[in-house]
Amino acid sequence: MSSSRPIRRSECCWLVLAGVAGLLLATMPSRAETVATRAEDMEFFESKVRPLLLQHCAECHSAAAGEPEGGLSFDSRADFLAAQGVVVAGHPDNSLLVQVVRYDGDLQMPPAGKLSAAAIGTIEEWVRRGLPWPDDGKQATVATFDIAARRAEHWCWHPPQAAMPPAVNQPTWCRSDLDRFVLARLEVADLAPAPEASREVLVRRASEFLTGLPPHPADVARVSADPDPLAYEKYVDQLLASPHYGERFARHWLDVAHFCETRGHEFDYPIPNAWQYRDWVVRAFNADLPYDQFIREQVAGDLLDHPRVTAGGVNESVLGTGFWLLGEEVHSPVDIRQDEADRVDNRIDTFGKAFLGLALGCARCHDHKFDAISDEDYYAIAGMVMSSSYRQVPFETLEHNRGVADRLAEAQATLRRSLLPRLEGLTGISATTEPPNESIFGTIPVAVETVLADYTTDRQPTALICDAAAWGVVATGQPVVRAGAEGAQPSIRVELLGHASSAAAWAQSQSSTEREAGALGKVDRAGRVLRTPKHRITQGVLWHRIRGHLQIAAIVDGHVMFAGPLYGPHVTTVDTKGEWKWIRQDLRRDIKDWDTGHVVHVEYAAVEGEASVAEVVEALEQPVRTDSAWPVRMNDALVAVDWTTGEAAELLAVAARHAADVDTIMADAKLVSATAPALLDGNGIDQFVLLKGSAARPGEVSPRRFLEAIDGPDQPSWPRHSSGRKELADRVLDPANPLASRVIVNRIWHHLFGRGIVPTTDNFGKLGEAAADPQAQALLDSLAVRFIAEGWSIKRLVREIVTSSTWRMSSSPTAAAMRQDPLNLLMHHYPLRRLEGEAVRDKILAVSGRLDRTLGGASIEVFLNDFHEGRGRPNPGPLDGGGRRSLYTKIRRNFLPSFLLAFDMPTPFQAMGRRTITNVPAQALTLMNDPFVIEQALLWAKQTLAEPSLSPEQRIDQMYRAAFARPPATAEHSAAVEFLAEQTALHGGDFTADPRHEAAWADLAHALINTKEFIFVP
Amino acid sequence: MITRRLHHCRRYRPRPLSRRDLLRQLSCGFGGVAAAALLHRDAVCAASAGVLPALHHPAKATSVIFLYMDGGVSQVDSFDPKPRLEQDAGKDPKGLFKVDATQFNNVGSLLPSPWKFQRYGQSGIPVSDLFPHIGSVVDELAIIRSMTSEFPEHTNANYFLHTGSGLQGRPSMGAWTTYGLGSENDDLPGYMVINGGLIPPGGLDNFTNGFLPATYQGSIVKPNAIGLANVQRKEKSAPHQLAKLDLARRLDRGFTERLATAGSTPDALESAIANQELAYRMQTEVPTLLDIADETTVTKRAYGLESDYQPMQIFGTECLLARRMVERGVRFVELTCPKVGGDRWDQHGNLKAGHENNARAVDQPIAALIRDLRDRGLLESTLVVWSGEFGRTPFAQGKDGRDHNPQGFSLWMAGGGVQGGVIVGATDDYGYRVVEKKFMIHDLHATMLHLLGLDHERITYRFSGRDMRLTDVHGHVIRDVLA
Repeated sequence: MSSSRPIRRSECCWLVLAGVAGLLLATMPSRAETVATRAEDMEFFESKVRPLLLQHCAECHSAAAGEPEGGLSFDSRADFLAAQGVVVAGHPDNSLLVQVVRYDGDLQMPPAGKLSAAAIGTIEEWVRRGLPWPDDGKQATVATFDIAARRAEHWCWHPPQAAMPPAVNQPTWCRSDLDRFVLARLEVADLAPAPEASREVLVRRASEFLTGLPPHPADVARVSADPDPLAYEKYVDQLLASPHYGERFARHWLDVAHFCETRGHEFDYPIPNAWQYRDWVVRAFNADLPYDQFIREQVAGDLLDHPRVTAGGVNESVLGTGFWLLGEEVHSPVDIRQDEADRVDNRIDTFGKAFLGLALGCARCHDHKFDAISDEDYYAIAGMVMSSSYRQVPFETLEHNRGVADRLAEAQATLRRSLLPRLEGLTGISATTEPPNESIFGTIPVAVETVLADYTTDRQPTALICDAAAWGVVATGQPVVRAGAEGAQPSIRVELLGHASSAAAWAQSQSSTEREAGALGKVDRAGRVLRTPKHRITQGVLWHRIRGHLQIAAIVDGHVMFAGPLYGPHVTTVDTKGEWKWIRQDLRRDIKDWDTGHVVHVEYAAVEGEASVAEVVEALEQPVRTDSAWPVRMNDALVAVDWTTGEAAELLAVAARHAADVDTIMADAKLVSATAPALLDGNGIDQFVLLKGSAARPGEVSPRRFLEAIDGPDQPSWPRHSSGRKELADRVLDPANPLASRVIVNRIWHHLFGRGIVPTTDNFGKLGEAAADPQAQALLDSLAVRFIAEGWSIKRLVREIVTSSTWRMSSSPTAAAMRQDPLNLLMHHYPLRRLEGEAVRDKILAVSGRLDRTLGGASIEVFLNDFHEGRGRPNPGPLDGGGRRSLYTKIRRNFLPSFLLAFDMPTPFQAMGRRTITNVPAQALTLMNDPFVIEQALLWAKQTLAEPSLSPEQRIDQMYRAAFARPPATAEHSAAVEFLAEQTALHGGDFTADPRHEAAWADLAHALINTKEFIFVP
Repeated sequence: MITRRLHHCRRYRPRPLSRRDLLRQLSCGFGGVAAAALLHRDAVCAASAGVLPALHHPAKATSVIFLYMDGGVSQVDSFDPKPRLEQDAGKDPKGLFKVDATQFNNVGSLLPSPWKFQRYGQSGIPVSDLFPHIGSVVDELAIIRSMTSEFPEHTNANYFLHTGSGLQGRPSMGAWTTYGLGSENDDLPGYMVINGGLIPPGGLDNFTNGFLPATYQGSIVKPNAIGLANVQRKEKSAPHQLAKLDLARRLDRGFTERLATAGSTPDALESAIANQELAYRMQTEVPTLLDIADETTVTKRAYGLESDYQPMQIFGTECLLARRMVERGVRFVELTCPKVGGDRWDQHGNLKAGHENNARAVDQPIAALIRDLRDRGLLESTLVVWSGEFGRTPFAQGKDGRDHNPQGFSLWMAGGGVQGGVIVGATDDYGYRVVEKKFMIHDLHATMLHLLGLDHERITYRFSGRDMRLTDVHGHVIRDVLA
């Protein structure tokens, strides 16, 4: 079910010019046809054109140049014609070739300098004559891109098969099937597995790699002495139940999601409340959220039919979508469309690596060079990303307030049902028999306009999209009670115009956490936002028909980081003083190329009081509307009514009861909530294939769908009313996708062994590194198949691995094994592993007694030293990070924590499932001289000395057990005592008289932190 | 004194013979070595190792000093005189040529340069009165007047200039260079950034190792006594610190013995121990490097250290330190500008005062650096590059400023392998857009690597599913500047 097709010209930069949108494309022939064959034309080509091409173009555009640049080759007629979109025979002005040699657009050829006017004239003439070029009979040498062939030839696209565990000679060594796969390979190589490590070592290993913290000395002692053969297994269960397990594995996942709390770029603005996503990940691992749900909530947690809602009413699922919002955001990007393309690219790249182990980003500029991924695949997913927008979601109150909003809508409907017929009776004006098109404003013809949203019930109302629950639809003729002037009776009127409405109380919605930076943040928006669908518009002037006090934000090409010189007009605040008004918003100041189309949606947030939006239209002139006349007439009639007696008084009483009901309902609304970055879904937008990844060069539309290599070329069309992310999650998790389970199983293996079965954890494609041999592949596949069958449980998988005999091997290989397999590909021993920066730092805090084990919450501001400079520098946080685990240090893109950076913490820009592990002097300098380390060493000494009655030997013993999970050997004991004596003397004391000299003990603590055993785990 | 030649023999190690040697020498070079990815996990990384066992072609330069003119110097006010601006002064540029979008979009009228140009040296190359000292060494410079960038705003343009990509997080050119070549000095980082006070927009990520191993990240030093983060021991005396490290070493012995196989210590441990020793030495080496007490008064004066203008003292110290680093074999040195009170070279307004203050800080020190390198025989092996992230518009922003201009600007190169006294390329009559020999940042990078003996298409690192390059899929060596 895959297609094969010749390489398309969309793989080069030539297809469409800057500024020429898809429209023109449709009229262009897909291939240039040469029509001229006359002899004088051929002579013209040979004498004038070919020399030009040879002299100025062939250096790059020839197979002789290696790969012809942009896939365009002038080597032969066939090669040249294989390129699509380069020329339109007979039409120089419509031909890209002519435009680039004229230096008309941003693509200018030849790059070394403009051709002479005469030469350009020759090219124009050649195109005008229909591209004469003698046919030498050669075939085009351009390669073909064949998804089916690529899919067939690479392992990662083939479904994993559960293999029978191989037979082994030493079955007693094997605790599980996993061990059989490992042992069988060793036996074939005639190697023995390393002996099992001691319980002490295993306890340390398990604790450091499952929780990122050293084991408690009491646990080491207890488990080591426990006669129960399952004592270690029980300890593993204890670790898996510890909340620190979730913290450890969350940090692994955050590398993949490139978790970050600021937007980088020049001023490093915050991503408000990004830590909520981090805590969501921690909770997910601790709760052993099935991995399929873990994916589903990150891809589409806002769209689930049954989101996870806690007992306290908190919507957990929506927080997962913070995954998409951890990228760089530029303020005032000059090329707003390219900026979106870059932002979207980062999201697609992260999505592909995280869940599929595929470098989808490679298909941004052209079909993937090696993998079965086309640029259409890439842009199909880009459409889904672009269809979604950013919001701060009030996730604590979201579900509850939806209930409130439903009740409010019901009350409104009830009022309308009970009141409107009686108002008709009272006034003699019918809401149903009035001719609908009778105008009260005249009948001027309508200008050229695009309706972005229309919430009037008289026409086709637009579906409501809002960030929480504040907005509902009010129909034309909805009765409304009007308070009377002082002393006067209240009265009833009907709404003139159907609209989206946010009741006054909702405008008091508040975020209890961080607010948006920049212009948007001037209003506490979360919980108040109405968002229109997205449209591709071409004029750049919006008209908003609104009533009330609102912030209006025109979101163009997904740009939300409003700060700095550009795009100020996109965010504005308007108060219409209770009247319906058309508000004009001109977006042309900073965007000049509206004619080429920009994707726009509008977000309205109530500033105060009731807010209403009837419609929003793109038009150069104020739109003209023919609204229903009957509400006006009815209101005119209602003015004359005496509301104090009879039927009118009764109606007023009904209305008053309704008002009281509304007050009761709204009193139940929860207006204060923590907020978090999350996606907000809208209508589906299909994106163009961008040639060479450039937003200035849109090609054909690539409708939203999943990867062709997995789902085939003929996929049902995706929903228009939504982004399609929900369907995307379904497709990722479908049994037809061989990647989701394999990728995560391999990641877990990688984290537990320091190296994946597929070492390139984020790239299962051809440029990744495959499993070492078929047995290793079979092991991965078997684990992956069972992982699904057993409910996608990561804890279960972790437990299986760490209780295996394979994991329990010691770190001391035999000489024979090292000779034969020095890289340990066959896994004949457990590798000696250096702790990650976070674990090193956390361990220092743990041994010093400073560690604050509080789980979750807002991040601790990063500590900055004098070398940490730049724009957007925050007030530095405490040196010890408040004693919290490194996970909770604020990750500011432009001010990353230097301690962690020295130990290879990845910079949070791209998915990084496999950290580099370097060994550099900066690490030694950090442990030797960083003030944090010095401070903690002193704390460790103080804690060690706190108990007055212990002997120095006992104290040393305590320190060893805390740092290394073992008692010191005799020689180590005496070395430490000797050292203490010398250091006490150095500090002017006498160890015999003063065995508790703090500075000397701090020296010992500092020395222990600088041993290799502190940061290397056997 | 340490001279260049002493280092020469250490520069390129023989091909590794054993796995241990391989690990020690090529440990960070996963990208270029066939077995590389296999080594990934248990890799160790000596500070001085580069990835390449041999150069792609003979090198002209062995070190780079990058003089980063943060904010964007105006080309029409420095190295690209445009008399036409006098003629058309005050005219609306939109009536004369197509004006591209800028970040501020406040397009004023054509603004002639407030500075006169003089011809200097044998080459007679014109240089404006902003840079009389640089003018005096103009015969050493190859001035490229046809450089372009892709970004009209600072942060993207800074990333682009430094990493070949406008996006944040890619490895800097200094990281790429040390990745390929390693360092010539085992006791100092191979890539050092001297922070004169201004960190360019985009922050320290301009100097990042990105996806390359951490070994190659720029070490930020300040032109003062402390210099580098954590390089100063906190103990009162060296013996005090040494006692701790000796104990750690002693205790390490037991650990390594337990894990040794047939008497052989795991590579990672051995390398970590070696790095601790190196770190210890760096505590002495870096302060010695930064201590300019042994420089003569004449030298200090030449660099502007006795100036009463403090920014010149700062930048003079930076230039002097750059020379000292190059002498010691540091591979790639970048200098950032000092604060001059107003803005960096980013004169959206008040062009005259702003450019003058910035020029005054750097002009004399840069000329002194070129001369000093030349006099010591170091210029021929040191590539000096002077550039901003883009140029400035020939028309005013507002009344007396200039906006960003990536469509055409000037930079210059000097020293190792560069032909002096030449001008390459041209902008149009107004100095706005390149009309002859259009080059882009990738071409600059390709040329720098070329002079260092590297083929920019062959120095790669596999990441993100492909073989990444400093020049992405672009770049041509600018042959016109080669000697």
